[in-house]
Amino acid sequence: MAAMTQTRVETAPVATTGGPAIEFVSVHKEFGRGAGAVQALDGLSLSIPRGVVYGLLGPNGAGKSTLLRILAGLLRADRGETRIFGDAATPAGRRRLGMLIETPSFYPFLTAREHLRILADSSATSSLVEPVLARIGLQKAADKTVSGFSLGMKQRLGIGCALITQPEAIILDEPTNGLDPDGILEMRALIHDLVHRDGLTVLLSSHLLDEVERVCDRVAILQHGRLIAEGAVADLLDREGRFWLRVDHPDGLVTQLDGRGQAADGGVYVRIDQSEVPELIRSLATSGVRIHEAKWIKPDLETVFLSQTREMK
Amino acid sequence: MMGTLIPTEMLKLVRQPAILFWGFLVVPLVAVLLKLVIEGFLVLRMGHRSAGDVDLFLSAARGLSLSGNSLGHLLFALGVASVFFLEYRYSTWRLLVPRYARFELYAAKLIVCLAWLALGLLVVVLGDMALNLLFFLIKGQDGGALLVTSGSFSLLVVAAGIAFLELAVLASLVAVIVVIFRSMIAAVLSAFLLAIGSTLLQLYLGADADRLPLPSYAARALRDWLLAGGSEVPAMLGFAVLLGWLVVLNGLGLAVFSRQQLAVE
Repeated sequence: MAAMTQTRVETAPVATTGGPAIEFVSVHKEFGRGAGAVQALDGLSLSIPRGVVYGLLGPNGAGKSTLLRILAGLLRADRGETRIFGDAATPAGRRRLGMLIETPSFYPFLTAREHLRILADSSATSSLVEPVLARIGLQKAADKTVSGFSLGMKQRLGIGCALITQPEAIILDEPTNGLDPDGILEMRALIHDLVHRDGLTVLLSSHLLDEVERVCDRVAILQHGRLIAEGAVADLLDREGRFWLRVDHPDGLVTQLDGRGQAADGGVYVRIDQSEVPELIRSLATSGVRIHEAKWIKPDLETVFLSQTREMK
Repeated sequence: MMGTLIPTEMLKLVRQPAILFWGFLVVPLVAVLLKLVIEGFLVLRMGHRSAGDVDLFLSAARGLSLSGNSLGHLLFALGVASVFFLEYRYSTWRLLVPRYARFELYAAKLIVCLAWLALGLLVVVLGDMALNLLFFLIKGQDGGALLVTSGSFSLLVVAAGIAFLELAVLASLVAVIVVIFRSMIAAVLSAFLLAIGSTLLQLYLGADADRLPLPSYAARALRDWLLAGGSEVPAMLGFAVLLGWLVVLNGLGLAVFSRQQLAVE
């Protein structure tokens, strides 16, 4: 019996089982009062599964930072619940998270090692200070005060501060800010390792859509404090895919397609499911439309993002 | 978690030596230095020989009345305000708030401030005693005896308690104003104006001002009772006033900070 239990513990994927890592349930947050009040979050519900890289997207003012600050305990939601690994978000629950919220802020008179040590003390992980310094590439600068650090070094230290408490999930707000191209590559590798090697969950907020597309398994798009799209990156891209046809008379085809087509780029874009393409081609050929060129266009995340956020405007 | 937070706060303060010196140590050091200069001047330059005996503990107890000094309040307020304002100044609440209860964060800062204020009082006591010993050695037996009695030791302990309570009220006042207004200047000026205002009120209203429940009057009533044979009732009222201020200010500070929105720090 004991051996069976042991085997199960060893083989079970730690991070991906169980309920969601982080949950927001009908979270409302308003800043200000009366006519000048700004609704930052409008009943937002979001569930971040364990063991994935989850991207949080949205234009400025969409509510991303407010959401992360509520998660960090810096802001209090007017209504709604925040749960961390199934429990209400308390300081004890938040210690299961590593956070890099917005621009990393540090005490300029303390060294990188001292920053990591004081945070490690909060979770009895002092033995991780040296390995974390090595992982973020700040071993040589470990005993220099942060006042002399570049933005990139501060960003690395911010990641180190998020990792030092041996968290089960990491919240990264614009983690590639200030990093050079090498640093961005390293950050991408680090995020990959955190999820696929260490079994952590990563919640990532970024304006760099191509970056999000590369590293995230799932994304949520926020606008005006509401969730406007959510799902696996591949599904969202497929959902926004369109079929493009170059024909003799694009305007005629648009009329024929009864609102599903849009003339552009010398042809017609048709919003249909990829599985319907053969049937469409067959019906157009039957009706005498001459097709010179046809291709399925898979959008990038930027296109999906712009399409979703413009629809909401 | 307080066990890890207090050393952290202590480290942050120690790594800011200017704040530590000007905010917590300069007042007691200057008090000791002034005593050295004045008494040293009298003894060495003018050949003055004081005939009276010196009670080592009683002298130190009197020296602790610096806790009511307005200029001292200004400098202590600077120190305490710097400790509380640090996280707003560098936006570092985001490092701490996710990991600790807000009560603990507030309490740790206050405890560290109180520890340094207490150390300042200790410097005054030890400095006063060391100087009295020094002058006794210089003056010899002609200058009078150096008395050490258990009665005056208990007096010293009570005087230290009063001085500490007065400074604890000051620290709590500064802390709550920093948290409410997120401003160091507002806190320092408020504490200083309260000290100056109390003195001015005393000048205008005379003895009537003593009825006002202000911390400086309360502390003075306690000191008068202890060191100058003042009556007991005003002293007990003064004690209650100081405790009341302490409870109300810290209750308010904790209530505000625990609900404070840190959209920007």
